[in-house]
Formats: sequence, C-alpha cells, structure tokens
Amino acid sequence: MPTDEFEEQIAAYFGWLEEQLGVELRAERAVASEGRRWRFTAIAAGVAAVVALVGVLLVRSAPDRRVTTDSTPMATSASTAGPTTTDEPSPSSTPPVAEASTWAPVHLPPGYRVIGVYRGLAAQMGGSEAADVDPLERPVRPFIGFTVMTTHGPPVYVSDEGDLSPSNQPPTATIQTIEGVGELLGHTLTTIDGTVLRIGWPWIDEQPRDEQIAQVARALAPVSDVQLDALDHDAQTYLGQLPQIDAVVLGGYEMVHRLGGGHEPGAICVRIGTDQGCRPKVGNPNTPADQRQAAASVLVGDAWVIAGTNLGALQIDLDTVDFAWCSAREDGTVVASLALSATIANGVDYFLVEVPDDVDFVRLCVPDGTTLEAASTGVLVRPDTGVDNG
Amino acid sequence: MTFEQFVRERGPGLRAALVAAYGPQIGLDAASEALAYGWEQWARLRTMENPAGYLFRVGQSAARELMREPPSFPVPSGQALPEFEPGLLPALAALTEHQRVCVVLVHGYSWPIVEVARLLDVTHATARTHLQRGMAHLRIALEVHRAD
Repeated sequence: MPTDEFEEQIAAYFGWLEEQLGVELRAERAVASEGRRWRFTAIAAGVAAVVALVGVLLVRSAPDRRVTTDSTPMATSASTAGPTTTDEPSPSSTPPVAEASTWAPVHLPPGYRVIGVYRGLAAQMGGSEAADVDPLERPVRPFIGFTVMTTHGPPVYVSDEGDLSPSNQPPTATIQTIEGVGELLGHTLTTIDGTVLRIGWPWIDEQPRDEQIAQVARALAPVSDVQLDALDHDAQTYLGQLPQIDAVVLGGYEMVHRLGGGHEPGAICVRIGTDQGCRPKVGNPNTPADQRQAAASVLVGDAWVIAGTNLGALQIDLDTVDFAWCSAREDGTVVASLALSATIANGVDYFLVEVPDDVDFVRLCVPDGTTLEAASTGVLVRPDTGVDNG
Repeated sequence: MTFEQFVRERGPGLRAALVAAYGPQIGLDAASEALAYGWEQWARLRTMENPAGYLFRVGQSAARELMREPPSFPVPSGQALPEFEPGLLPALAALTEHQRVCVVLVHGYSWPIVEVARLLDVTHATARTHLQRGMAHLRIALEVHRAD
C-alpha cells in the first residue's frame, strides 16, 4: 500500500468513526484566549517518573505557581477555607540539630517509610525572575527530595526543588501553611522560617490523599548530612529486601527488578559482588509492569551506575532512541551522550549506564538533529563515595 | 473561561485523544468521567495553564481502571469504506498508547503536532518521535511502501 493511501485510510477511518459515534471529535486549534502556552519542560509522562525517581520534578514555567484565585487549598481534609496551619509539634519533639543541612521526613507515623532519598541539581523553580526562562535553560542548584511510602495510599514525594536555603533553621521551625498549586507540581509547603518545599505526587496517576501529605509534612524536621545518609541507607536496605521479579546482567552488573505490592512501589537494584544500590520503582499500579519507567542512580562499589526500565523509546528495533543519558557540566549544560547497555527480559526493557570516572554530572537528554538537548530539569550528581549504598 | 466554553472548545479534542488511546467504548467513558471531574473542580482547573491536558490525565486514570484488554476499534463495513485495509485496526491497537494518540490525532484528525504535544504534556520533539515510531510500526505491519 502506498504511503499516501495509508495515511488517507487513517483519516477516512476516524472520520467514519466520528460519524458512527455521533460525537464531535475534531480538534480545536490553539485557543488564543487561553493565554500563554504551556511550556512543559520536556519529558513524556512516563519519563517524568524516571526523572522523578532521580529526584527531579516535572515542572513548567509559571511565574508563581501558587493558586491565587478561588482555588481550593490543598488541605481540604481539614475543611478550611484558607491555607492550613498544621499541628505544630512541641519544641521538645524536634531535638536540636546543630549541623542541620536540610529538611527530611524523620518523624513519620507507623505505616509510613522513606524509600527514596535523592540528591542532585535541579533547575530553579518559582520566583518571578525565572518566569520567562524555559525551565530547561534555568540555572541549576542543589536539591534534595524524598519519596515516602505509605501502606494505605500512593507514595508522597517531597522536595526542596533546588531553591531551599541551607536549612540551619532553629529546631522549632514547623510547618506553617500548605497551599494547593494543583496539577503535577504537588503543593507548596511553607515553614515558619520561610522555607518552601513541594510536597505531593509530581507525576500523573493517583494522587496521595491530603491526610497523607499532611502526615509527611508534619514529619519534616531539620537533619544533618549524617542523618540523611542514614535515611538513604535504610531506604536502600529496605528496597533490597523486596521480592525479586527478574534479574538481568548488563555491562557486568546484575540488575534486579524487585516487586512491590498494592501501593508499595517495587525497586530497581544494581549489584556487583556484595555491593548493591537500590531505588524505588514507582508508577501507577494500574499500569502494566512492563510499561512502568524507572531509574536508579546508585553507587555500586566505586562505580556510579544509572540503571532502570523503559527509558522512553529504548526499543532499538527502529534505530530510534528518544532519550539518552548525557554527561553534563555543573551548570547543567549537556556535554555528550553516554554509552548505554540495554536488553529485554520478559517484555521489560532494561538499560544500564556505567558513568565514566571523570564524569560527575549526568542529565537526561534527547537528540535533536545533530545536537543534544537537556530533557529534564534535573541533573544527577555522582553519589558521595562516603555514603554506604547498602 | 467558563466550563461550558471549555467543553465547547476543548471537549472534542479531549474525547478524540481518549478514543485514540483506549478505543471508542472506554475512551468516551473516560472522557465523560474527566469532564465530570472538570465540572466539579472547575474553580481550581480554570486557573491552570492547560486544563485540557490535566483532564486528559484524569481520563487516562479513569480509562486504566476500566481497561481489561487492548483497545478495540469497530470495523467498518465494506460499503462504508470499500478500500479499507483490515490490518490497520489491529496494527493501531498494537501501538503504544502515546504512539496511537499521536498517529490518530495527527493523521486521523489533522492536529498539529504541537497541539498533540501540549495535550500529552510532552515536548514537540517527543511527540514527533512518538508519531514517527507509530507510523513506522504501522508501515512495517501493513507493508506500506512509498509511492515513488
């Protein structure tokens, strides 16, 4: 069948289908009155999960993402009409942390568990100065994020999104407001000292309930680097004990796909010898396992490895690769694509990149003609060799 | 923009995208659920930059709850479309969701690729790649060759 005829058949069929259904399916063109166009930062919804897993939020270039009109505040469970003030723990409940470097969800109630600690660079979010700059072109700065699993709902993600001041706040700093910002961004959470965090679930599919978000918000407290490392270690140890679904060997590493259950995400672990690193494999539980996308950025022994499943169009059957991992500079600019190993097992695409020793920053990228462009707002940073990855 | 205006302007495209992704039966149900949610939440949604994209994701979640099998598309009678290639529908169903949405919206309903990208929350380049890959899969499945 010639190409032209083939494309005409598609048009003819869907015209016929529209008639059969008796509903209008023709698209409207861009609606000028809708204002400024979306300028999403680059990544497909599935890849958003990959990016989120490495600690980067899917963002867009809104000048101020707080809802300022008659929107419903996030904390609807509190049945209030304005920003919600959470219960403030007594000062004694948060012991002083002299060397606190950030916030972390450390006072979690039973049934909650930190399963992911992410440290990297992320494009500056928020602030009017960034409003007109594409997020992919904004300067990057250090960020920290966490995934908190609950046994009775989808995971909650919380991140400083790269615009947190170093958290040497007094230990009495507590959550002041939680405001809804809607869509993919989670919610803005402000502490009494002005710290702003994003909290919620940054990619599509099921959202955590407000009460879950509030529980995680209340659990936040200043922590030191040592405490953060311990949190990371505990999370990776936990993930490494989940049941094994599949294991493949790529580039000399064994990559193990581990099973979650219910709302519990699975995990991607990479190991060589007795060294192992794990990251949660999140995604909509209703999505078939072989379509979920995930990435683990881990230190395995002395090697920095990025491994995961279903990276964009990694099926190599058509010699087309949507996404790749690229080396980057500290300012986030992309340098060159990194060699990637891939295989398919039981219908799941697995990939692994062993990052060369001389590369300290890696960013998701996409080929665009003869050049490479950043494809997410985040930049992975070589994990600290002092951290035991479990 | 009122919700009624939104439905008038963006509703058809939302339905088309969900029908493309999940077939007419589940796609239309999902579109109805998404629009019902939109009506309930309009005060919040109308402040968003792209409520259609948000509701497309709401529809995706609804559809995935309902999906038990791959999407199916009704076969036209020989009289309705005499030259219709019967292999087209199973080949379409075999595409990934995003590939199918891109193929159907661009070639079935003449959407500009930038609008498809907008609805799917992806970049222009990503939508274009989904489209190219989807079309490449269809050409292989249907043994399509260039006329020249």
